[in-house]
Amino acid sequence: MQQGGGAEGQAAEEWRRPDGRAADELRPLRLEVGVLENAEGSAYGEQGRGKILVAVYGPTEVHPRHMEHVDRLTMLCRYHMAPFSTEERRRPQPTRRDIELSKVIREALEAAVLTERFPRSMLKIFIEVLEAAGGTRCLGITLASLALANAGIPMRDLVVGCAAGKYKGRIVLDLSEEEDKEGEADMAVAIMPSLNRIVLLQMDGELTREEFFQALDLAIEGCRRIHKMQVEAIKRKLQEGLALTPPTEEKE
Amino acid sequence: MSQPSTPSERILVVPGDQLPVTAAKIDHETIFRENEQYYSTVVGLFEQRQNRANVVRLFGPYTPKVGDVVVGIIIDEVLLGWKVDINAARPALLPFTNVPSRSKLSIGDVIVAEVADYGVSRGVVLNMREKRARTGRRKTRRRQTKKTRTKGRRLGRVTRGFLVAIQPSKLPRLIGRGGSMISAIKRGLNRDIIVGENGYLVLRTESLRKRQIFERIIRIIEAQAHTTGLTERVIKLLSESLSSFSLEHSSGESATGRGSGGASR
Repeated sequence: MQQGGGAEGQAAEEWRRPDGRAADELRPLRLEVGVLENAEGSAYGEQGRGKILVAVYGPTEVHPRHMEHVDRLTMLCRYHMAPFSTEERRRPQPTRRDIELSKVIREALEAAVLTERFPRSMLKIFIEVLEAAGGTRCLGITLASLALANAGIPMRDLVVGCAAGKYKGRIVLDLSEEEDKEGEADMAVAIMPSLNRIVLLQMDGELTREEFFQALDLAIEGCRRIHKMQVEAIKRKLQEGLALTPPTEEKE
Repeated sequence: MSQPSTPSERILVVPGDQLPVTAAKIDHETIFRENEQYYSTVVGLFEQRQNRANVVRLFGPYTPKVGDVVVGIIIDEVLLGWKVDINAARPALLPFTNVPSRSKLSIGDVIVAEVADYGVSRGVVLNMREKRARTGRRKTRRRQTKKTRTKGRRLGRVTRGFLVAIQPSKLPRLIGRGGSMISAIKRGLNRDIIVGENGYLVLRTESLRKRQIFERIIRIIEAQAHTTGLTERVIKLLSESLSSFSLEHSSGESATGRGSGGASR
């Protein structure tokens, strides 16, 4: 539908992507909150084939001490792809890409976290990509903000990430790995949906000015849809306890 | 079934949710204001009553407040005092000067102390000493009233009992409105419970069975903190598990009774 109105729009509806999706369709997404017992907060998610686990530890004392900020929280973020996450085994050391993504994800989350509430403290976020299938930084951010909410860290807003890009001349939402590789452009966007603010914007490839804004609007639309699922995931976690009512009682 | 609180008053919110605040006082820990709008910063239940709006957290750790009575575990000895785990973001300091001279502490001890100071850079400073009198007679009377209050707080070393942790965000639910839930549990177990405002609880009993029941109740409260009618369910569960406890005993007795009956036949 992004390609304009009339007959062309109809054609766009019939046109399908390699995995059978429409241009503005997200991959099937599953989000879960509070999956780890040992971490203060955690989240797990699947987007298409992609699988990511996020754990949040803290706030704790800052170690190493030189990283301490006297007026705000020190956030440490590690985005990492597991050796088995790709088609061929990947060396487990963080790559340049991992380091860059850790930084941009941290900055995106720092925009939401009320860091001034925790001076001289440290928060650790671990984003572990178990299986990579495109758009991992976006899913990583979406999950990290869920894990932060799960850890009770005060935030201005949840943070949601979603990608859009250009594949075979069309602006499409939530590119898969295949589309990312073959496509003309890939754009990762993360927003704070209630405050209506962009906290991450990265692009790879070529887009015209017009296409850029189309893709941006589409990505933001995708973020808003994922945000609803985030809220549902939190509510599901809270409801979980209800199933725990005491049928165990009878056995004893 | 329904609790005294009207459900319309409590709304489940997540970070970023806009809040319909009309109250004059807001809790700045959980509510964030921007462009004349109010937003929640945590996952919790938004409440508004008597000119005060706040969000009761459903996720997260203990946030210290001066005056809180907490249960802590001594984890280390440092230059000026003891380092105490109080289930917060960072360990607290219990300076030697704030320990009454009669109590001898060592690492691993469980203590009840008061949050004397909570500074941004200092962290949490604890006090185990009932407040000392200042010079001058005028304050004597006031001191006495305060002392009777500090007596109820039972600051000091915990000598016996079990330590059980509850998620601090679920603590208000354990206590219940006006302490209804906790007093029901105390009554049900016929045992005293020290409730640290940091979520560490000490059940004063040697009975493993009572500890098990208590722990199960804590886990149920944690899991169902956001539901209504929880106090009633817990009271029911408590009486059931205790009666099954006594049943076990009586059934054991009746079994021997039957056995002896059979023998006599």
